[in-house]
Amino acid sequence: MGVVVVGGGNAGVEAAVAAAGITEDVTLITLNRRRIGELSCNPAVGGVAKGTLVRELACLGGAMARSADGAELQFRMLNVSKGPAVWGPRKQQDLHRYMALQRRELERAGVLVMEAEVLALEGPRERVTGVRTRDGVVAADAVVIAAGTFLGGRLFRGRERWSGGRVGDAAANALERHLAQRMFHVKRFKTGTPPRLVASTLRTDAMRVQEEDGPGYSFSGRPRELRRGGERRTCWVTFTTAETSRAAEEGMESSPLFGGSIAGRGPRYCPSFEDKVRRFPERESHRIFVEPMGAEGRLVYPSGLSTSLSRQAQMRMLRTVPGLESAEVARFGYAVEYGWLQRGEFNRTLRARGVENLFFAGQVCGTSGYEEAAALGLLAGANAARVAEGLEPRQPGRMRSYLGVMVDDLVRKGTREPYRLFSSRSENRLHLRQDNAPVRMAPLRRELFGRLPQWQQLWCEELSRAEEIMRSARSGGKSLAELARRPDADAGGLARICPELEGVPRDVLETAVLDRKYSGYIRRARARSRQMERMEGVRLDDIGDYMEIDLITIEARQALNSSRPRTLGEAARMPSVRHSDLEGLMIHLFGRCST
Amino acid sequence: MPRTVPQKPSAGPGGGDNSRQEIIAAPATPRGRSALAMIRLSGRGCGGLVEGLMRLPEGALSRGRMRRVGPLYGPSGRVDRVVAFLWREGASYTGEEMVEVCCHGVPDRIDAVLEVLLQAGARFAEAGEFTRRALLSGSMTPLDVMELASIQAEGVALGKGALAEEVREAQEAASGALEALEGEIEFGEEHSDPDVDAEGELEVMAEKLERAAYAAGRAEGERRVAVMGPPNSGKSTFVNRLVGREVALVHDAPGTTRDGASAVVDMRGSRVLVADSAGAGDSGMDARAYRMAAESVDAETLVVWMESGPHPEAPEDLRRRAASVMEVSSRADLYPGGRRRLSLVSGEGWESTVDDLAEWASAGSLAAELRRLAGRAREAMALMAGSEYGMAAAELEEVERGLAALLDGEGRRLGAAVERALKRLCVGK
Repeated sequence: MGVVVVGGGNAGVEAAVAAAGITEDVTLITLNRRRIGELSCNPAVGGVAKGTLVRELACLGGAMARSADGAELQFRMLNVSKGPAVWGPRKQQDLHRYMALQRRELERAGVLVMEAEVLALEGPRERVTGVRTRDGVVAADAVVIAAGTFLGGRLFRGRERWSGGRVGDAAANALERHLAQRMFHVKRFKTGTPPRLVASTLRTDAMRVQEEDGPGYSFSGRPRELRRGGERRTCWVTFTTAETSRAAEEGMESSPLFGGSIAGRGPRYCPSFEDKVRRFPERESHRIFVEPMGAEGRLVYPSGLSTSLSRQAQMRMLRTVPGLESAEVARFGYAVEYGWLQRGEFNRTLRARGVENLFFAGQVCGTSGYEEAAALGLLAGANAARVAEGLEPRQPGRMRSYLGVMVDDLVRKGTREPYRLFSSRSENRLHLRQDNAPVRMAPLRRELFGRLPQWQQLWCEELSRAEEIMRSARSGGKSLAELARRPDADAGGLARICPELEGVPRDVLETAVLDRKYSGYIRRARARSRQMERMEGVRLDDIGDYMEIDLITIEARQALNSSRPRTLGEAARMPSVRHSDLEGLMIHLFGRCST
Repeated sequence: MPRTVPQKPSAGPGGGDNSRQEIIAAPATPRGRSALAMIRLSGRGCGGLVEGLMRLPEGALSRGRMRRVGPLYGPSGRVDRVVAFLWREGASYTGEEMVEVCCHGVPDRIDAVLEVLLQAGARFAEAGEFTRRALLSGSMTPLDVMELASIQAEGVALGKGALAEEVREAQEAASGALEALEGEIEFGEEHSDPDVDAEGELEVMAEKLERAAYAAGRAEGERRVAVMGPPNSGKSTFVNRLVGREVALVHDAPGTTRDGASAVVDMRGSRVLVADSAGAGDSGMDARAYRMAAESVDAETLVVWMESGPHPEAPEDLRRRAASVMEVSSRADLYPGGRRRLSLVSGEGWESTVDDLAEWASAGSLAAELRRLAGRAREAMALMAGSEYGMAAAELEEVERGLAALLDGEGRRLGAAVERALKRLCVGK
């Protein structure tokens, strides 16, 4: 018994490790144990918003942060010139080392790994009792499905098409059919990946070296904790040419994406090269990052050249990119189309609709990206273990974390393309930063796992102390908290003014200063969110005919009558309902206005 | 703190709704001689009312051709031959069911037809009531109302919809700028190509906002401030200093200011008509001049009541008439303990007095709101230049929200401005 996790990618590993932190008996079932923890696409972890999400994971005890620290080949803090609110830590990864570290995470957590294909869930619709594999039934108190692109995966390249979750691996087709039979709504998305190139065949002098920021940043510990650097590898930047676009244009005649054989929707933000050529025909050149895939330096990943055109077309394209003209291809790019569960099939705890002990995580929830998958995996795994232990599952809040933003977006709004996290998806971006993740995630970590590790507890206490000092200490008639709001204020300057602050660790003080600096915006965002929440709580079921409510505009009455929103919050999101109409509705419902 | 009498409660766009289902009627053309005159009715059931008076079968207008020619009957028989047009709910000027009745353009006939309509249950409309109903039904936005008022008052100024168009353009620019800025944040160092010009887009948006604010200022007209008080209390000195040039005649002898000298000044960005007046309590000519000034004070006027003593107190009738009264003791240098202290000799209290006036003038003003948003756009540019993209985006979101609020007709900040605009409209509009 215990928890069964289906899938060994970033979501599955994270789910299993989190579950093992709560319950004894955790089994991870994968099609191929040698490929657990594989980064199937780009060899990097982090980025804008995504890097912050990795920090959130770290502060919930997530495996990804530790493995990404251990397999680091290069580090960059993105957006360093655009303000700390939007910094994005990102680390290039040694793929093999990352996989080894992820496997070690499973071992350390005591997770049992089983190699099998899960064909179906066992038990009645409302409560599963385990999973059925080709070799028999594995019983479970709770199940997490984290099958990723393997769920009904189909691969495409030129006119080639075959079943699989990734090149070289089979797909879980039976499981997709089974979920549909259990009355889940399964939709299709597609995504793609570029060719992998042999590093020794590149002409690196034709490309620009992408400088890194150097070692020293820690995803998993305190943000500025000094670490051993490990092996470093270089990235390059090159640009495609007009000839590359022409080659793609010619190749598109045989592309499945343009030939109509792929039904799923692809991501707008990480499009294939042929997509970019079609959408921005006026642009002659596109930026390509050439990223190392391992310390041994054999293969590189040309980021930005994702394509599912035929092998010949891919070769013709590469021949036209400076530095890649004579590149040998180790594996050609391809597209994958897979099944995912649409909005409504799971709630904010990631529990499946109408099933007591089934959870979904990762790309099957409609997301794209390792970090998104891992964060969902952690939440689903922890909640599955809680349910197995007879505890209530928990949900993250959208004002406190990107994890909360993502879960709320998927559950409340749904998505029409593979969902990628952006900083702009949060209305509280100035608060959701990589530096303050320890304090932001502390409440959820306590809720899920019951306790904080010592370092995080200490960090939160130090932050409270720094805030206390800044409130009480004064300089030139102003409190330090006020001084921190000046545009030129920084932690170093404040520490020089106030000797008391010298005892506060620098990373904590920096967070305290930033929270003060952004406090006006954060307060306003919270006030707006509270108001929205209040409106979500007002139900409109009792209103029969809106035409009888004289307090609101006729336009609004007609719109409300036709779409019949359930709550005032839903009404507020309707374009034809004005603010004054909402006030009118409040007066109608309560005899007074309280917004 | 300024001692201002709060503005009298008036039926705002959200108030006075009980009368909405009433049928209102008013002539929409001048009461003179012309080929045709038009009387408008609005409110659910007005089609049936006219059908009855024209002795048409029920639904002949509303479900039938929507246009009928024929006699209109009163209690004592046929009144005139009219053309009646029906506009369905949701497709009319007011958004309600409307009928336009065209009769002969002769004053007697117009009066007679109107009389019959009123006897049949319609109520004579107030000035601007049709437009108010359009606003309430959602078929006009506050911007449209303000624009209409400026067209009616000044003939032209802007083309129909031009102000809303300016604001819409600014909103588009704001969305574009925000998109560019978000692109820089999310993709500047990743996938996309570095050819987005967020700074340029922001500059365009700020300029568009400033242009829209200027246009709105013209559409709104100016706020009125009347400076009043006993003779020789410093009113003219005050006005002159506000205006920055000699407008009122200043003299040490009481009673120097006989007629109200006035000028339009730009007060922290709001257009304000400042009027000096003769002293209260003078005799003869000046008493008449004061009475005239006091009578011209209306619910749109802010009265600055100025006395040189420490406890200025405006007369009761002025307080009743004015939108607001600000009582000022002008010789703070002599009476340090007085109420609102201003010294025209030492300059004490000057800044705060002007601040309060400017705040009053900009309250509920579209131009002021657009200037505020333009200021935020400039702030966003400064934040971007100072490497704070997250904050810059937060400012831009604020601008977008502000503009959306103006355009989706929410216009809560515009309540007072719209109310003023409605009052400037004539009956039948």
